[in-house]
Amino acid sequence: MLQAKKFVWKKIRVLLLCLLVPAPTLCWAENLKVLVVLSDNSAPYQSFANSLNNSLPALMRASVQAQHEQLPADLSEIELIVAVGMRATELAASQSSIPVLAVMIPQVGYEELLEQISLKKSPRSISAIYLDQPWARRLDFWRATLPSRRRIGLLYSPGTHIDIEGLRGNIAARGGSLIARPVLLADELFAELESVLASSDVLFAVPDSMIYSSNNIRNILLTSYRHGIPLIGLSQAYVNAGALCAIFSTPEQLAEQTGATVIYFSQTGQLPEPQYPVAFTIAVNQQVARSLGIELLSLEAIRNQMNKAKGRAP
Amino acid sequence: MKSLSIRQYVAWLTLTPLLVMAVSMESFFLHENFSDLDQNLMERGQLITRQLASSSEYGVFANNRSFLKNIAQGVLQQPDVRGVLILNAASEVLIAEGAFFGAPENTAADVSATMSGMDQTQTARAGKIKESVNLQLPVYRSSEGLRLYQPIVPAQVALDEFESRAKVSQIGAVIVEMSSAHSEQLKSKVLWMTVGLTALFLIFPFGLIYLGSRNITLSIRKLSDTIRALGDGRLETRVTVSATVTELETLAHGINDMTAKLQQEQTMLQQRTDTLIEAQRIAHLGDWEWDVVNNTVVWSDETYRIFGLKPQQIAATFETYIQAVHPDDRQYVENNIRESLELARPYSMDHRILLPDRTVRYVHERIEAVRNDEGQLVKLLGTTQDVTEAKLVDEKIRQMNEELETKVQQRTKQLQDTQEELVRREKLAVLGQVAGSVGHELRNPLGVMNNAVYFLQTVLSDADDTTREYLNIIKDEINASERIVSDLLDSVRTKPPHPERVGVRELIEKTLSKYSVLSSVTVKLDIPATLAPLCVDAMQIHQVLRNLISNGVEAMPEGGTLAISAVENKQDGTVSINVKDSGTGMTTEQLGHLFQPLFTTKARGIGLGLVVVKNLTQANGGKIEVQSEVGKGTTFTVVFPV
Repeated sequence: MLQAKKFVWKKIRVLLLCLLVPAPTLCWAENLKVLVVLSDNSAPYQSFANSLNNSLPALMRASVQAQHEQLPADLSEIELIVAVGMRATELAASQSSIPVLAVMIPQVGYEELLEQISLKKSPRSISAIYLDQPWARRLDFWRATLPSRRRIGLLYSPGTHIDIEGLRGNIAARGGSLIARPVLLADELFAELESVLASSDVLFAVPDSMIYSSNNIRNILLTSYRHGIPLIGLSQAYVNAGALCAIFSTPEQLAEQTGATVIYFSQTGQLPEPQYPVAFTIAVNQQVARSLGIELLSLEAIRNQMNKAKGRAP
Repeated sequence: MKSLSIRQYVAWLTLTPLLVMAVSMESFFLHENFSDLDQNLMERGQLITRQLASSSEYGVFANNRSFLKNIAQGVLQQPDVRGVLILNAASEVLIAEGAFFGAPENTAADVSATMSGMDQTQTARAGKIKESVNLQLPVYRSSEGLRLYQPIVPAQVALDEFESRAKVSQIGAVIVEMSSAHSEQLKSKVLWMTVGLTALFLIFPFGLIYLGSRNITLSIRKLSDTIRALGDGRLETRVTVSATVTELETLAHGINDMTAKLQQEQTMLQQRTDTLIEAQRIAHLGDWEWDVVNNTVVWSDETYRIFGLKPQQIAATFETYIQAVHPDDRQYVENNIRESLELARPYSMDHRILLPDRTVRYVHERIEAVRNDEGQLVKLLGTTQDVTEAKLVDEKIRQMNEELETKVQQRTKQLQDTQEELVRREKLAVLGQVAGSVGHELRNPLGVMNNAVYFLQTVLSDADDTTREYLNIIKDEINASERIVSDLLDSVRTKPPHPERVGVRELIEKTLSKYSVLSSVTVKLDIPATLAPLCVDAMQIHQVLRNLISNGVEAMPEGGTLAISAVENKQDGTVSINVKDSGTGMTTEQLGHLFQPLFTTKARGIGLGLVVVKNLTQANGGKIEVQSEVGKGTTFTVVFPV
């Protein structure tokens, strides 16, 4: 029932987006040839592809290609490539001059890729919809979820592009403080984690594969529990693994946003600027909350708090 | 190969496959059980190791040694766990609990000590334990147990990392040592239990088979005993089988029937053999067989008997036979046998044998050679017949033949002599009649002529010499004629003697005095004075001696010696008178006719002198013998009883 409701809302949103564009453009958009290139056949990407096709008009069906070493030889009729994931994005960006819309990639990865292909592609022929949430949204989420826990601990590796000072300012603007520790070597993770947890109230996960990986997340969570410090994760998987809560965008949400962008491209012939996900999902782990003695608001209340905070944001 | 009884054979046939099956199955099951025990130990060890690795993940991540030690001690409580070693990502020992094989009991303590400040020896021990297993060789087996290595990898929690998922990395390792002592004890128990069950498994069917086969084996044993008894010659043996096995019953009946026939035939054969032995005994004919390949000799009883031996005393061999042959015939026998072997042809021979009691017997041997299909000589068959009696009979016959021949010859001679005597007597009778009439008729004219010569000599006493000589000649011739007439008359009509005692010397000297011996003849006398006088007719003996002396002198016309001797033989009471001349002698043929009338070797004799001598000697109870050799002379001997 809930799924059907979501599906109806999705259709309505797409129709509204279509109504916003002029009629001649609509006609042109129906003929747009889109190639969706997936980095692999994993379930999130497949889900994204399916959702994208569902979100596009009936005459604008995208052909989906799982990740290969090369793009199809004949791309003469393709007008837009939707690259899902980093590997597909790198492939599409390097092997074709066709406009590329990269989705489900971290902002850091996109920026690094953009630096590599800047000489080959015009900035207007590639754009992205990030996987990660904007810091403002995450901080609003923190404030809405754990308003009493002001000290935010954060671990990052040297390869992670985080504006620590900017972040520290944003946190301070929301009444908190940032305790950030770099992890230079993998062996130092536990020590740095201990150090951070010792002076933090909440641990913020960041998209950093060196620290927050499948290998380490369990031990990080165990350590944080031992310190009574909750972890704010980056996805539903974090919540499932033991994070207190997470804010993230699902593949369906991203596909919906991508579909709108494709339609936009079909109408304007231009890609928009890289953007964060518009829609997001909030997940909490009540069991963890109970274990840590934390009382959480309802999801709706959290979302309302976030909306309020967004409205107050500068 | 050692022979077995039927029961042993059945047991062997039964037990062998059972044993093979049982041993094979039990070996298989033992192998399976042992493998299962080993596998169980291995699986438990792996499970414990995996659990330990999983449990140690956070402890290693957090470098929490007290936490790890508690876990390790908990693991040590597990059965068969002997030692636990927990390493970090750099393979440094974080925790070492328990003991490790191949190392002193305090190895764990040593290794633990290495964490704080280990010396080189301790480092080496820890290094050896760590080096024995690794990710590539996670299992190390020894006689004491297993050493298992398990890497500690973080539990993977799926995040939405998509393709940027981090590589799984090892953060440490655990080494768990599992002791196999308990497994070995279980193996030993299983082994002995299996052996016991196998023994029961074998004993039970063996007992069943033993009992089940008893009817058969007992019956077969009875049959076997019967066959053995029959083989020993006890043909009266019969077998009684109460088996339910039809074939055995049929076999028993068959054996009994066969035995009965065999007994009957043996009886007949024994009778025939006895008859043959008796026949051999009667005929003194033995047989023998010589296996030349194996050099074995078989003699019949009669052969032993012929050779005077007993089978119990001596073994029959070729050497025994040769030794029994008479030494004088041994070479002859050996040559014959050798020739028979070489030529392989039948032969027969007669020879003597020498019995142990030194008795000589005669045997007749007949030998035949037997060859095999390849023509090789394999045996000699022969018979030995005691022919001593026949030989003796032959010898007797021969002697009798000789005697008969002699007698025939003697008889023939007697007949011839008789015939000759008859002829001579007839001649003498005729001669006597003629001589009687002629002598009577001649004596008168000879008397007239003698008177006339006497007258003339008287008348013509003055006549010349020639006349007187012729008158003497006429007178001598008339005397000679008178003697011839006298001899002739004496030869046909011997007068009965008038014996009287007379000395031998007297007889001889008186005879010599009346006979004028030629001057060329030397007379030698050897007449002992001690001779007993003879009781003979002196006149007749004078005539005998005169004829013998006259013959001796006439046998020596060229002169010689006339030896006259006399010898008395007191044993038989005779006196022998020998007249020996050294004349020409006589041949044997002449000697044979010497005393026949009218046979003479002299030119002027008429062959009556010796006839008269013989007649007169015999008439006086004597006998005459003559010995003569041509060229050497003749000796006449007359023997008279004293």
